Amino acid sequence: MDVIIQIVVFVALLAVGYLAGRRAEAKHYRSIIAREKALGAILVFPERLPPAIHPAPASQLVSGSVVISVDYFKRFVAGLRMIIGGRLTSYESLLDRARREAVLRMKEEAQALGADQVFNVKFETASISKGASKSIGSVEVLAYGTALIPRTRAAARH
Amino acid sequence: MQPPDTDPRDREQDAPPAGRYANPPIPEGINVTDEHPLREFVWLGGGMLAAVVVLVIVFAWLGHIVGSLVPFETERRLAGSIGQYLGPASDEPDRAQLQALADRLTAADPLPEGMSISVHLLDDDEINAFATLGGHIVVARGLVEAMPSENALALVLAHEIAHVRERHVIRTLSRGVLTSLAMAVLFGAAEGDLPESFAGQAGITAGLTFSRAQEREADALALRGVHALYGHVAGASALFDLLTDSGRYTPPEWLSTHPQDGKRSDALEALARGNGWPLAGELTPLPARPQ
Repeated sequence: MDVIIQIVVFVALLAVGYLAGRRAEAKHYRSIIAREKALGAILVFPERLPPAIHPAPASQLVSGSVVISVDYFKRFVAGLRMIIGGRLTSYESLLDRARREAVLRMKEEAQALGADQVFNVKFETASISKGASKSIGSVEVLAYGTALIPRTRAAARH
Repeated sequence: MQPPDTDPRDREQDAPPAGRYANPPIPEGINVTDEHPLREFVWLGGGMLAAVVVLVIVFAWLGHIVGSLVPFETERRLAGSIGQYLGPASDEPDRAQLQALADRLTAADPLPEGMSISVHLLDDDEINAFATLGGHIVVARGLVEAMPSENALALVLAHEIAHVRERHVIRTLSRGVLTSLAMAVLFGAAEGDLPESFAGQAGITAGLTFSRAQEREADALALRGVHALYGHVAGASALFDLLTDSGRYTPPEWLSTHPQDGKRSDALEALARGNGWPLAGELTPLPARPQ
């Protein structure tokens, strides 16, 4: 009897993880793609220094941070994958979403400041539970950079 | 050839050339694959299941051999003082009756040289009996009370004696030790406890096949023993019908240590017919117990 309960619980968790995870991922990607288009005017660059522009723009630190958790299904498939190795495709999409979402949040902050460019963009990644078993399998992706807020020549004279 | 290194700030003044500072759209699908996740799941999960089944079969076979190589005296020593803890001493007369029945069975169908059986009575209402290391057999009081005749009780005892005779206990033990060791080595390395417990469960389920095979073997030998003692096998197959009717919960066979009761009863009947053992005969009543 115990075995049957275990199997049922396991299959149910896998199914819930799969269905909910797939749905959330599809929805998130739709949102990411739409917002990337909408925020396309705000440009991001990895270069540390912007080109010399006159008048010199104001600058401010902007950042976007995302914490995402893995679902039961992805975690299980990843666990199987770790035995034989290869691309951890179930986590790749998760991290792709996190990186893009972090950039989008950073861009939204920049837009609120009236900036149109972000230079020196960098990423940081931190594991929340540091791989401890039976804990939350989640990762933080932080994107940050220097937002350049253009000044009109008139404003710059003051 | 790399172009000569020039500081971009030297080249780009007030108006940076278009294209140098631009964010062209990045095509989708670079960091993600459009392979369906279920495909990976089926491949990996199926592969793992197959690996576990092969592993269990190989190590069960090895354990079987190792178990058979252990002499019965060593098994008895391993069992140590188990006997002391099995069954209450206060029920000596009942225990003695069970032991006497077991002795009659082993007299009618002798055990190999050096093997011995010790029967213990467990003060428990459950309908259950089992054999453990060193020829110790434990019978729950509930089982004795549920038996309609001595013949049925003899079948149960003969079944447990067959487990001892065929070294099933020590074989199961060495099979279990070897397979769990192998599983721990192979799948313990996988990060996360999920696949490990999945593999463990799959291994246990695959191992049950061996358990069921042992039960069938013990059933057949038990029927032989009962025939040797009484000259007929009456009351034997009725035992499983009784267990089926007792309404106890039985999981599906593939998840069970024992074959289904109905199948066991049919197999016994077929065996009796095949050997020409009479299915009818005089049943010996169980001695009346003082209330």
